[in-house]
Amino acid sequence: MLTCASVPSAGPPPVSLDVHLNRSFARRSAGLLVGLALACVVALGLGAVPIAPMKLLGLVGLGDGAVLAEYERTVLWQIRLPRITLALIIGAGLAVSGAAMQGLLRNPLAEPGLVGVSSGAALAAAAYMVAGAGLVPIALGLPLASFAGAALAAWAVLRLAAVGGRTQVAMMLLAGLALNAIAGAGIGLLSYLADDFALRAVTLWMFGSLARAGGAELAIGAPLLLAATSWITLRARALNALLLGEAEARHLGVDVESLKRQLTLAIVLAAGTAVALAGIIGFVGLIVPHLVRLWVGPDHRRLLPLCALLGALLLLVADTLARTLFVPAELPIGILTALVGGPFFLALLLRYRGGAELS
Amino acid sequence: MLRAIELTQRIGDATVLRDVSLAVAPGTVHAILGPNGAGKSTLLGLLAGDRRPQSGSVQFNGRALADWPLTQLARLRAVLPQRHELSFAFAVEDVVALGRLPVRRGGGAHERAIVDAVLRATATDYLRGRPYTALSGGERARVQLARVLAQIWEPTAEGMRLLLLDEPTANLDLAHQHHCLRVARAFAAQGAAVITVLHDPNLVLAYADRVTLLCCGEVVAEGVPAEALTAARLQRVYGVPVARHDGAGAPWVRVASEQLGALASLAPPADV
Repeated sequence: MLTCASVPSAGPPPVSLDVHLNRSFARRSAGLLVGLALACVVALGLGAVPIAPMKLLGLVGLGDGAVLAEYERTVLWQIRLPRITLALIIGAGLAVSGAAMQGLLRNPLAEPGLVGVSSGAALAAAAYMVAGAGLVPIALGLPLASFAGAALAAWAVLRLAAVGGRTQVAMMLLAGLALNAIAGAGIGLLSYLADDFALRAVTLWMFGSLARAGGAELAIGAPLLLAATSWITLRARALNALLLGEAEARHLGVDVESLKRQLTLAIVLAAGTAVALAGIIGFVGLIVPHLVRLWVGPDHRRLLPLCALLGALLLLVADTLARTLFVPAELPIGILTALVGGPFFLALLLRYRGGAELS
Repeated sequence: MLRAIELTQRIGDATVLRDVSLAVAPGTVHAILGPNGAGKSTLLGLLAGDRRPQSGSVQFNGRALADWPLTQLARLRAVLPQRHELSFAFAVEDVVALGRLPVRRGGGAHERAIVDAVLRATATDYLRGRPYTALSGGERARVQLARVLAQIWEPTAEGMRLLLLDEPTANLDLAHQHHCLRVARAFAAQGAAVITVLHDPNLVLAYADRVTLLCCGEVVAEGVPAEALTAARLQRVYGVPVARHDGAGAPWVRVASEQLGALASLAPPADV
């Protein structure tokens, strides 16, 4: 009956986009896994105490028989391995929570930092470093303080955005904006009051660093980050439905209000833990999901696992550069991610300007 | 069976619906017709359970709508909204497959077969590999129709299936408006109920089994379209002269524009 404009042009049918994206997913996953393995070996070997790759391979029974000296063992197990593990987990957590935030707000430009999580953590961390450390000098005081700050900021924003039992997205963004401004003022004031030592500590923290990573941080942070990241990844189908709109997702049987609450909790947990352990590391949560969408499309079942892999790889590379470029000094990793991420993001924007919609 | 009993809805001080009742039986297409602001979309929102009425109730398959668990409801009832929010570049076939979220039984091959069948039935097969964001407004509307059909494509023993459409023909060209409603009719013929908001009385006359004519939040007429949509009623509801033609085929109506007065001048006022 329909013989009008809807008839396709003649010729063989093109390869389905879905098939194409699935192939791309398989290819990219394999590439990223290989990249991660290589990056781990390189990162384990590089540093003030270089360790030959053959000695590392010897640990898994593949090397040429060379063994590690005692001090090399110590460096490897006590310093590098915890730090590299943390870089991988934090990178994955930041990228996955960024992607989840974008899905939750149906906006490809959203990031956990937007709703005040990072700045709440930063304010609490600054307060601890300037005043608190002298008063309550406990182990893990700094990460505890910043996690509390992140959680408190998120709680405040969610309360403000809860209108009639529902979370209003626009309200959440605006409240986050206000909270960011207030926290910024607080940090400014604290910096003004701080002595030189505390000021330097605050400044360094704001740019992020994995240098503090040790066994204790790993033992507490890793389970939290892994739990939040995997929970988000398990909700991929519901997140897909949410992209259609909240009413549409409800019509598809998704309990939208509960999903939004749980997602926000997982995002705050992942982003808050990451900030608590490593300070503020920008751009990973924004750039990684963008790049992955260009590779495999917006389907969260493909997007989230690849975000975890690419986020982990990106942060490991950035951290390895940060600690090896200017030995014995260390570059704050946030400066590196912003330095690389900013221009990269601009290049992406320019490349896709005028093309298909950015998503 | 879907039954709405004396629904009343106030938004702020305004009563947007007053004592609206309707019943829709399996196998029928029920149209909701009325001028802008008559309360059509509000009524559809109440029937979908998106909002609760201040008074009255909606019964679906013998149970109050609010008592249905979301996932169970989603296996029997699909809703096509008026506006489509999706702004991420899913492939068209993936958008349709999103409709299968509440069901997903029978595994991958079965699911693919359903998506294929729906794409063919809605004549959107040729779009299947295209990114949704690259489609025109009308094409997007047709893909969304395919998505909601996919959701309740298979009959189930759990009860009557219900399809709610809010102005499904809004962005469609002449041919696709009719195709869309033919699809709705064919779907009803499978034993489902279809409720659709429409703006064109002629589409209602051609495709609906029953119609609820709304004006200012109240039911003006309810029944078989050919009987409910008299020229006098349409004239009263829309405020324009209407001529109805009951010839050999189905009845149709037109605006008797020859009886319309002249418009107030659109020219700028002359200088004095």
